[in-house]
Amino acid sequence: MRWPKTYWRDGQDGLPSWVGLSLTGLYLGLVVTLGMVSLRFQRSEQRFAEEEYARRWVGMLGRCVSLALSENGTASAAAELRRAARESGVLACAIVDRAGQIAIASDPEQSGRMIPDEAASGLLAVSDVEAAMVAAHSKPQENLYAIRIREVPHAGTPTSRPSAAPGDAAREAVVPVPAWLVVRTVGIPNRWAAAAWWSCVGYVTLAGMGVFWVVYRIAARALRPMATIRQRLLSCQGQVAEQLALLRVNDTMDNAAAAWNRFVEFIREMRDELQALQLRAAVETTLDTYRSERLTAVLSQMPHGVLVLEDGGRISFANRSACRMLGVSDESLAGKEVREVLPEPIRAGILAGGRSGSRWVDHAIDGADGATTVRFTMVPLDRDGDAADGIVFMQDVSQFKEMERARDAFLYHVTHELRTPLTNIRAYAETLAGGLIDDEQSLRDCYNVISGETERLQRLIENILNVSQLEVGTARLNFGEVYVDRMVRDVVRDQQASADAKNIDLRLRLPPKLPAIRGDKERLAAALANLLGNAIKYTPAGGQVEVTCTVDEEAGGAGTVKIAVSDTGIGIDPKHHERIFEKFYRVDDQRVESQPGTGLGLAIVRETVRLHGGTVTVESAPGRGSTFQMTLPVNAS
Amino acid sequence: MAAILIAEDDAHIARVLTLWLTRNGHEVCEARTGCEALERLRAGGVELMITDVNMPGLSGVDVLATAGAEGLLPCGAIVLTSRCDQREIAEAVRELGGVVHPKPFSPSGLLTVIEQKLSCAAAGARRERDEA
Repeated sequence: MRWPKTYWRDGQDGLPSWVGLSLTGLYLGLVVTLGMVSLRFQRSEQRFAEEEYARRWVGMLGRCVSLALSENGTASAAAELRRAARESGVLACAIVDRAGQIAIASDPEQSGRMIPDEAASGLLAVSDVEAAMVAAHSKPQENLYAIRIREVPHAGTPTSRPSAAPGDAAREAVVPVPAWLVVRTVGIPNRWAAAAWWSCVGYVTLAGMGVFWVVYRIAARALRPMATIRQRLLSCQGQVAEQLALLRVNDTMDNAAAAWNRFVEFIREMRDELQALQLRAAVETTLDTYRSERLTAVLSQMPHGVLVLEDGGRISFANRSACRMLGVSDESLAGKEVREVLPEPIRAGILAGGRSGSRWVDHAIDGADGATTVRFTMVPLDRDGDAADGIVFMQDVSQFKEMERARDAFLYHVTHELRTPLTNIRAYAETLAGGLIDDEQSLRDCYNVISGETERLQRLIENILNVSQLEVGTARLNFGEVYVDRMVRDVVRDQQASADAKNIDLRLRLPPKLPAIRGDKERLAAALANLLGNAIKYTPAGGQVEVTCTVDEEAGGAGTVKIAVSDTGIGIDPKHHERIFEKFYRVDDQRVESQPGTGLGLAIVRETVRLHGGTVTVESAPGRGSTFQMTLPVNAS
Repeated sequence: MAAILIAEDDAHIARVLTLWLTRNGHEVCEARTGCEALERLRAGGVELMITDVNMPGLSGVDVLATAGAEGLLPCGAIVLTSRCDQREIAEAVRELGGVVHPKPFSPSGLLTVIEQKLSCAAAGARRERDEA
């Protein structure tokens, strides 16, 4: 049986107490009412049956006594009365006269006594046909029934009294005529009391059973979810967390079950939330680890050095570049104090940048690969944290510094190279304009100076433009057949005057036959002029410069032409051999700086030869002269 | 009228300076290197020196410093330079009693500077004589 929740529940949680009490009271009332009605009905029925039975029995006893008196006398009647009293459940039997005096009684002790007055007064109304109650409720537990015996069958006179033989009281009794047989029976109330008691016991038992049933049902209903919970808990075998759904109790009649289900649901929600949190935490941990590893990998591969300072200046992380720049092993920096690693001037300098990290310090560090200039910059980790905590970035600015130096050197030289011809042009032009010169030769010399200086300016500008075009890759080459011997002769002839001015022996050695190559004649001539000009420039007076051409022919028209320019000049230290081909680079030597030049010539030579598919090499040593050699393919693509 | 030494490794510049100074009545002598200039100064008779900074051997500033220390230049010196670090050179030259004149220059402008320099030197000499 299932009750509607809305009816069964008190508000939201359960049965109202008045419903249960009312139902229990109604049940008990019904039981008591039914018992009372039943008792009342039984009482009436029993009274009627008792009276009928008593009348019939008393009537029959009266006839038996009459017969006994008539046939055997008083003794037999007395015996009959004693037997009736002993075997029929009556209290007492007696034969009385009309005044109510007892003649013969079942109890011999009662002979001669008087029956109660109310019973005696009713004797005369009793018939001899039917017994009648002469005194009901004379005592609450007793009734008196009587029947009139008209004739005394025993021989003799009606007034004669039985002889009183010794030992036989009945025979001595005097039986009045007419006589009345009075029987004292157990009264209806007494019988009814016993029946009512047992009936009450039965009804109380019934009511008790009802109450027991109600209590049993309530207890069973209350305990059933507990039993179910217990059974399911035992069946979970330690996997409660995974089988929370099985712990739900489907008993909506019970508040405890509902509360238990809410509790289970709460636990399930908490478990789901906990699992979600654990999953999220695991994912975040995994992601953090991934990010951390990736970040560490990225930082490790960075060309810039990174030092992370925490806890008041302790190095918590140092990447590979930082270790390399500081000249230590990869793992030796972590955990050290920054003051053990960076000198005080550096720390003071980068900390002076404050929170903005706008200050840097350039510091030269001697390492295995030579001196490097490292720029230290610090950015604070936390704006509100310790000023000593932050990220120190280390940038190798050696190349940048070298480029700055090369740029400054270029500006220095190009400025000088520009201003010197401009000075001549302006001075001579003003001289001519001022009319200071009047002879023809001097005038011509002035004009030649202005013209020569203008050409010098033009060459300088062309060099700058050439190197700019080569640098950005916009240089155009006009490829065609280049007769190397003719080109070399032209260049040597052009430089002959410069060589003669320094009394330098300029020689040219050509093979009998040189193949024509494919190339840009003007650019190749300019490159050779650069090499030859450098040789003359850096060869002391009286020295020797030689241009030699050789050919390495191969089958099919392939092969190379080599043009070498050798001198007996100041020579170049091997450590500069690579860098002299860089733009704007000039060897840091007074003998070099004293010569005009922009540091662009060899860069132009290298780029020009490269664009022709060839190479340029240098062999030189300080004081032993230099040999620059261009190797050009015969069939340049 | 003054005896002026032109120390300049560029022959064209030296030539045009000589032309302008001689036309204005000055006595001019030339030197192509720093060492040559210092020898000429030590030979005596030079009142004012016009020198380039960049010269083989000793630079013009070095020559001025030596000459100043030896008291060889009564009217000081005018230093010509085409370098881009003229400010640093000017500070060094000023301490040595000279003035810097940048290249490219106008010969007439340089002549004006020379005249001013000589006038100042003459005025200074007169003051010294008067004070003496």
